[in-house]
Order: sequence, then C-alpha cells, then structure tokens
Amino acid sequence: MEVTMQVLLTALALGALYGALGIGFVLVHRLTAMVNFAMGDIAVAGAFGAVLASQVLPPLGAIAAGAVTAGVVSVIMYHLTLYPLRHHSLMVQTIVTLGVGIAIRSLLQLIFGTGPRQFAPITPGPSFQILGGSIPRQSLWLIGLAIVGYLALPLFFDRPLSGKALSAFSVNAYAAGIIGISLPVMATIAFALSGAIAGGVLAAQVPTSFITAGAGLALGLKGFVAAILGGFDKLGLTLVGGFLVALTEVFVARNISAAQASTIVFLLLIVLLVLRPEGLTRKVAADRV
Amino acid sequence: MDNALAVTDVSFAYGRAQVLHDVSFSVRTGEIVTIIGPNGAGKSTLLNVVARTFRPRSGQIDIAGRPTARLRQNQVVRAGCVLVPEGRQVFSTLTVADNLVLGGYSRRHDRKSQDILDQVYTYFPRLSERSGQLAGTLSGGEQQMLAIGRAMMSSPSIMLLDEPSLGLAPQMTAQVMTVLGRLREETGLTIVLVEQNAHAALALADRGYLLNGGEMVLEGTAEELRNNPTIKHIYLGGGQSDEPVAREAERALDDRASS
Amino acid sequence: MITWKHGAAAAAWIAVVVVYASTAGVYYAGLGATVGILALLGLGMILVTGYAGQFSLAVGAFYGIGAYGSTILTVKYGWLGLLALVVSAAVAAAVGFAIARPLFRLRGHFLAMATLALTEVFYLSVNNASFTGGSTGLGGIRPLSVLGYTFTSSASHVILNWLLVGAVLWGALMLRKGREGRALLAIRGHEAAAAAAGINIPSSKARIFTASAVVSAIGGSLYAHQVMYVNPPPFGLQTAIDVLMIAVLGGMRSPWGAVIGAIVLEGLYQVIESVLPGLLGSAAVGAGQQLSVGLLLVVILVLRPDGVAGALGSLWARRRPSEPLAPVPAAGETDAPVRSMTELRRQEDATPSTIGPVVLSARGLIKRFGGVVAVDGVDLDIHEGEVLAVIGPNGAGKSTLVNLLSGNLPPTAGTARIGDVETTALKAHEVARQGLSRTFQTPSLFEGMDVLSTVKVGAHLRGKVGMLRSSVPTVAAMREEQQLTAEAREVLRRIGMEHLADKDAKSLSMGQQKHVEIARALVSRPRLLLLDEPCAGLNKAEKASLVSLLRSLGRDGLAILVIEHDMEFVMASADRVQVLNFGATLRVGTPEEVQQDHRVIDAYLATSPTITDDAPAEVNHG
Repeated sequence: MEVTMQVLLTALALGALYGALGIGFVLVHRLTAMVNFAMGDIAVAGAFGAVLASQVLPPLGAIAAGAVTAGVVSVIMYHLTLYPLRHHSLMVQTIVTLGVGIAIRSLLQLIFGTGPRQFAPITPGPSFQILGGSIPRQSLWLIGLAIVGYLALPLFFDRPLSGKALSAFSVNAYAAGIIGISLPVMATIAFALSGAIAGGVLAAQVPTSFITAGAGLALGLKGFVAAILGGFDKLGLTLVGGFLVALTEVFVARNISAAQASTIVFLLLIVLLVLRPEGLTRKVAADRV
Repeated sequence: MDNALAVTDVSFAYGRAQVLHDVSFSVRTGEIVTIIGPNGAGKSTLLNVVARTFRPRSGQIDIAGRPTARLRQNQVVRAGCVLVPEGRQVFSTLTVADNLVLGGYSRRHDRKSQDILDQVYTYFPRLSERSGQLAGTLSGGEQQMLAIGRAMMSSPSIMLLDEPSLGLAPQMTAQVMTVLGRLREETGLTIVLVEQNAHAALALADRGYLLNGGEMVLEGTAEELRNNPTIKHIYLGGGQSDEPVAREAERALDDRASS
Repeated sequence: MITWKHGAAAAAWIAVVVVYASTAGVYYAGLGATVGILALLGLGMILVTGYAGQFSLAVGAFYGIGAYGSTILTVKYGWLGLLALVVSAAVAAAVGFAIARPLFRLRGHFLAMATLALTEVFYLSVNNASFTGGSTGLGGIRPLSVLGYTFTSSASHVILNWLLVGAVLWGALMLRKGREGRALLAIRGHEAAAAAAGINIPSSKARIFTASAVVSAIGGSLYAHQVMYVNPPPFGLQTAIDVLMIAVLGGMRSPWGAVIGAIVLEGLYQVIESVLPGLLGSAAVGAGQQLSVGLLLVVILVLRPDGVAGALGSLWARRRPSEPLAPVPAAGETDAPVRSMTELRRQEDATPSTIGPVVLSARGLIKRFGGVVAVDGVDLDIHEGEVLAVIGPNGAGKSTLVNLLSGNLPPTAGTARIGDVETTALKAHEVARQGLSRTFQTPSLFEGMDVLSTVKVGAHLRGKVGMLRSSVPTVAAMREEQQLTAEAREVLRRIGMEHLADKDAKSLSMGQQKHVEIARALVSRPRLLLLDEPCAGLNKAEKASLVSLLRSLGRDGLAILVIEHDMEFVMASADRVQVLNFGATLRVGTPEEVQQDHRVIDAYLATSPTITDDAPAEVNHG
C-alpha cells in the first residue's frame, strides 16, 4: 500500500473542496456560534446554479454564477429562518438548518432529477503529468480558487472596517452590538461569503467529476471534519484538514475499498470528535454547545 | 424638554423572572446620574434595556425626547447613546487601536474619526503608548479606559457605564471617576453610572437613584443620598445608629465629600 | 403506585388496539402497523432527548441494527425470529453502551453531528456491503412467530406493535416518576445542580441511551418481519428526520408526544401522497415527500418556536404567568413589624449551638481562568455547627470559591478535604457523596418538575432504584419511593413550603424558588451546606426566617457556608465571617470584628486617592 503521487494529487484537489466547505462552516460559526447543517446542500445548490448557467456562460462565468447562487441561497436561509430564531436555543436553530438542508436537497432532486450533471472545464485539454501522477487542468483551477478564497478572506477581515467589524463579532458578539455594529448586516456578509466560497469551489469541481442533487449530506459531513481539524477557528488549518480528509478518503478508496471510503471518513469524524475535538489546533476547545 | 434620557415605567422579565418593575428615571443634558443598589437589583439589566440589548416588556425610553421603541441597538448608538458594559468587554484579540477604531463604526461615514481618536488619546495617554498591544494584555484599569475610549469614538451625547469600578483597585477607580468628571466638564457628556461602589459613585454624581429588587426606591441629590440612613444600612449592615461601623462609614463618607 | 387505574388504562389500551385491528381494512391495518413502529422510534427519542435532554440523531443506526440483524440471522442463518430479535437488540444495546460515554462528552451541535455521522456510517456500511445485500437489500424474511403463533396478517401486526408501544409507553411514564427518571430530568434541566445532588451524569446518560437503542432495535426487527424486505434508505437520515418531526409535532414533554406525533406524521404523509402525484407526477413522490417534510419542519419551527422549543427543551419555553402566590409565611410572622435581625439573632442564641470539629478544610486554593486569577491562595475551615459567611465586593471570587469546594470546578492548585477524605480532584457528584450539598446563585430548578419532585432529586443519593426498577417498579422500589417522598415532605414542612409541594417549581416567586433549592439541598441530610447568595430576591420577612433556619440548622450540627451581600443578614446569621477581595482572604473573624476592620470598610467603600500605596511615578491626573 503506497501513497503514490496520484493519491496525493487527487487528494490535493479533493482536499481543496473539503477545505472550502469547512471554511464555510467556520465563517458561519464564528459569527453565530452555530453549525449550519445545510452547508453541503447550499454548496450543491450553487453547483447546480453553475450547471444551469453553463448553458449560456463560459465555464468560468458559470462557476462565478454558481458562487453567487450559493451565496444568495445562504443569505435567504439566514434571513428567513435563523434571524427570526436568533434568540432561541441553538438546538432550534440547528434543527431548522437540518430542515432547510433537506428542503434544498429534495427541491433540487425534483427539478433536476437524481442523475449526474456536468459541464465543460474552464481550460480544455489533457491532464498535467506530475511525477508519475496526473491531475486534470480543472483541478488546478479548483485548488487555485480555494487558495484565492482563503487568501482573500483575511485581507477582507483585516483591512476594511467591515471586515474588522466581522472579526469583532466573532471575538465578542455582545460588545460588537453594544458599539453599534448591526448583526443582520454582519450576518448577511458572513453567510454570503460562506455560501459563495463553498458553492464556488464545488462548482469548480463539477467538470472533473459530476454533481448530483443528493451529494449535500456527505459533502457537508466531510467539510465538517475539515472544520473540526481546523479547530473550528483557523482557516488555514481548515484547508489542511480538508487535505487530510481527502487523503484518507482517496487512500482508503484505492487500497481498501472504494465503496467504504466515505464510511471510514465518517467513522474517523466520530473518533475525532470524541478524542480530539480541537483538531489540529493546540488550544483545548471549551465545552462547546 | 431638557432630558437627555427619560426612562418611564419600564418593566422587563428574563424568562420567568421579573427583573424590572415600572422603573423610571431621567437625566438632564450634562448631568451625571448614578444608579446604585445591591447585587441582583437589576441595574445591569436596566442599562442593557436602555441600550437596547433587550426590549422592555412595557414602558418607554426617550433619548433627547425621541422614543426608541422602534430602534434597533445600532440605531440607538447612532442616536448618541452608548453603553460601556460590565466587565469592560474589550475585543481582547484585537489591538488597542483596532478596538478604538471599531468604536467609531457607527460614525464611519462622518469623517471626524481621526479627530475623535486623537481626542481619546489625549484623555488616555496610556492607551496611546499601548496602541499596538492586544487589548487582552492590558490591566483591568487600562481595559476600563479602553472601553470608555471606545465608547467615546461613537461621539455619544449619553454614556451609560455599568460598574466601571468592578475589580479595580481604589486608586484606579478614582482615576476613572476623575476622567468621567472631566468628560462632563469639557465636552458636556451626559453620564449614567451604575455602581455597586456607592461611595465613589455618589462622590462623582449630581443626582442618584437607588434600585432595589427591580424597583426604584429612592431618588435624590448625591448629598441627600450620601446622608441617607437606608443607603448606609444597605451597604454597611447593622441597624442601629450607635453601631460602630455606621459611625466609621459616616466618617469615611464625610471625609470624601469634603475633600 | 400500581393502582387499579393502571389496570383500567391498560385494558382500555388493549381494547382500542384490538378493535382497530379487527375493524380496519388491510390498507389501514398496515398503516396502523407502520405508525406503531414510528411511535416506538419516537419513544426511543423521547428517552434520550426528551428525558435526558441530549440531542441525538443516532436512531437510524439502531433501527437498522435491529432490522438487518433480524434479517440476516433469520434469512442467512435460519435462526428463530424471536431469538434473532433479542440478539439484535442486545447488539444494539452493546453498541449503544460502548459509545455512550465518549459520545456524551459532546454537547449540542457536536453531539448532533456525531450521531448523524453514526447513522450515515451505518447507512453506507449496509449500502456498500454485499453481505447485507448492498443497495438492493435483502428479502425473503418470514413473518415473526412466537410460541407457535405467526404474525402474518396486518391486523396481527397492529396488535403486536401497539401492545409493545403500550408497554414501552407505560415503562416510560413510570420511569419519569421514579428516581432515575427524576435524575434524567434533572440532567436535562440543570446539569450542575444534578451533579451537586449526587447524580452520576455520564452513567445515567449511558443507560438511557442504551435503553433507547434497544427500543429502536426492536422497532427495526418488527419492521423487518412485517415489511419482509430491508434495504438501506429507511435506516439513514430519513428516519432521523422522521423522528425529529415526531418530536416537533407531538412535543417532547411526555412520551405520549411520540404516539401523537407518529399518528400526525403518518397522517401528513398520507395527505402528501394523495396530493403530490397530481402536482408533480408519480415519479416525484419520494423527493416531494422529503421536500414537504423539510419545509414543514422549517415553517413550524420559525412560526412556533416557543411551543416547539419548549418541547425540545430550550430555555425560552413559553408559560402562562401564574397567579401571584402568597409569600411564604415566616415563622412567627404576625401583623407586628418584623423584628430587627439583630434581635432575632439574640433570641436564637438563647439556645446556643456547639461548634464542633472541622468538617471542611481547604488550603491554598487557586483558580486561574486564562490570565485572570479568580481565587488566589485561599485557606478555609468550616466547623460542625457553625455558620461561616463569605463576603466581599463583586468579582472577589466568592462564587468561584464555592464551585471549587463543591467540585463543580477543578482548582488550578490547592487542596480541600471533607472529614478525612481529600476532595480536591473529585467531581461534583462525588463530592456530594461526601456529604456536601449546595445551592446556586442563579436559579437552578428543573424545567417541568413540581416542587416535591425537585426536592426528591436532592435525595438521589439516599436511594438505589435504577432505570429498570423505575420503569417496572418492584415492591422494594415502591417502598423506597414512599420513603423518599416522606422525607421530602418533612423537609418542606420544616421550611414552611409543604402547601406548595405540587406546584410547578419554576412558577414560584424567586424567594420561594430559593427555599425549594434549600430544601433540595437539605433532604440528603448533608454534613455541610454551601449557600450561594440565598437572600437574593427574598423580602425582609423571608430573610428573617432564613436567619432562624440557618441558626437552627447550625444547632443541629450542620456546617454551613453562606455567600451573601446583605450585610444585615450576614451579621445576624453568621458565627464567623471571611472577607475576600481580589480572590484572596482579607480578614477572618467574628461579625463584629469584621465590621470594624478598616481594610474591610475600605474594600467595600473605596478610599480617596490620597491613600495610594503604590502611586505610579507619573500620576495620570486624567
């Protein structure tokens, strides 16, 4: 059983996807202290938006449209469900996101059916050969997009006042409110970013594989593992976490059983949550509710 | 209507517990009013209701004559009323400078932010020295200064302070009170000060109220309240005027008042 | 406790079930059987989430273990149906018990995610393994037969399923009234208070999770024998969502909610099934059904979070405001003005208390939270028969100190002993076993419990009845329950609250709630009582009666530590006073000594800037 170059390259691309989903989780959690169980399905909605858009736009444009779609869906979800319930328990908010996730998933299924969808890659052509493994050109775009997203975020968080305000909210939501930063405005930004990044990167992955309406649950769970590995806090570690998840999955798929790869990842999630909920970070997660 | 702030018959319950019962008080422009009372009296809740963290069950709150019923918290800040919360609540992982800049968020389109920031540094030179430091690394007193400075950044006409002396050594408390006095003198800031440390609060304030069990039970000038037996009773225990501690306390208060 | 009423109810239940089974046509009988299984699953969820307040989505996995277990054992290995059912349930129990403790270290979202992952793991495992028939599933299951009778017809399914539902329902209802049920509700209501009452929280959670797993597994086995075909989809997220819907529709307050919720849910499904094909074409029914459920879940929660949130145990359950209750009459209160507390104390001291040996002793206690030192090297001794008051300004570390002594927080450094036993590293429920009882600063009563039950929780350590005997009470169990009830009533009588025994504890006034807390702390016959700000919310008369109560408890030999701000109360009730400031002890002495200590006065009042021990070189004249 070797970790070949191919395994690494495939994991790199897949990991960027899981990392992007994880970043989506973390952004929402930073602001609202809750886990958005609809994250995966929102990303899938974005991917389908890209699929639709690909009929009139070139692939890059379609991917952008996908990001926008996911961002919009995410914001709508926040304002229709989470904002009205913002004073209620986190449990109620969690169940609502579960419901939204199912609703999105089944709606997509009704509209698009259960079959796989795809569209053309941004730059057509053969895959790149690197040290014995091959990686599709589109995957490089995917990784690039994820990295761009990751780099852009801190710039956004640090410089313009809005970004700092978002940071402030995640540090001390009460104090942020006291000095006049508006929760709905900040939440809109956070949910929009969360959806756009996850949806955009997933859309970028579609040309190299495909997308189905029911993919949201598994994607969400894997993105969640990435977020856990990042301590639900550090974006960079979330990307690394995504890579580790993907590595595990691809490795298991090649060497043990393709069918059980996801299963093993989820088992690892349970083990991780129980044994090391702070993931790769050094701080011990306080009793998180 | 000279009232910078008028609170009328405000009631509030948290879940099942009725915390405030028909509370009323008012503050004139440029006044310093203190609300004292024992722990659990509802003082913090009252300030948070005024600052719109919570919505009152009933009653009315007017800022400069304008009702706040329809305003959200950030709009109340824009209207000129800002809260310096209990325990400071600075953004501990952001720098002092960032904390202050964020304080001006509600006025970010006003273009005077730099001027106000300079003014804050003038009042609190120690913050200027530490502007690049993470707020969480400052001492309690410095954090209190930072919290006040941050509140100043929103150009408030009314500042609400929730137990600024909490956890501060007496000397630091005195410094904080002095700054507040200066702010009122030099900028006409209206101040509502909630305190458990009745002594320090009554030394600074013009007028005061006593909140007990969610109800306003006393009102008067600072002088009247300082001499009020009920207040001494609540804070110092003992019932009879010949108890040694009452004499001791009276002496301490008189010393302070005359200095 | 098992009365003829129970017998009559059981007979009525059986009658209804039999009548339905015999009169309903095949279609409706089949429907009835399905609803029965849903109700079983709902009951499983009520046990874990409704009673213990733990948000678990693992039902699909255990349901599946039962279904697939029965299928594989009977079809592939030819086992007897009943045996397969029992073994599958045992497997589910083993799995549940094994993962419960590590799993329940998680809370809220993380627990939900972990249990969701568990369900997905099961789904994927059976979906991908050829041994379990992969995505096609396994067929050829034969109907269940017990003692020669074969459950083939839908009518027989209805009877079997609903008799089981009845049994589990009965067990759940009995459990609630028993010692373990109270413990679970306490865990759900306020974990710190439950631990302080001696309840071993991880152990209770593990046991109820196991019970829930067994119920779900039995449901799965029934499903297998009745549908006679198993494939993966029903054992994944789908079922978890169904069960959540049952909780949302029927509420989690009572096990009846599972039954009601299951019936309403199936009714909704029937409506959807009849309406959807017309709207969307028959191919869309599956997705359409899911969409409807998802939307319903969202809409119901957004529109009615209070009613539902109460059902799911949130803090903001809506209650109708109760009529104002008459304040608790203090001992000897008349229309005459209340005597001053000092006079009261002199009167109480006519029968002096004997101060005995040290009961609790702490040395060098330190507690750091990140960079903040909340408790900075505190020594403390409390003697038998003495009332020690701990006072100090806000933020002085008093509550933290109490949390350290009671085991609710681990100290950073220092030691504590109760009697001969070192309690420094013990958890709250272990410290409680050493004879320590406490109250909390903020209300710590349990949601949905009446006063008597709340107080009985305090007697948890005086009982032994566990989960099984709570659900199916033996004679000894019933005797123990009667004993606990009597002791609880006795304590309530002592503090003058007996007339409120059946009222919902949270509907009382603050003062009365505090009294209930004290009763709860007393009923375990502790050696040592820690009271955290017992006077908050009390009126003058209530405080006076509390002074009397504390003095009388002291005479009985109890060691009492009181944190308080009300100085009059402190002076009247305490034998000694320990003053804390900035986490360290400022002074320990009699009330008189402390009252006259300059440093104490300074700490509370703050001095003028002329007293500056450590003036900085450059004075900031601000």
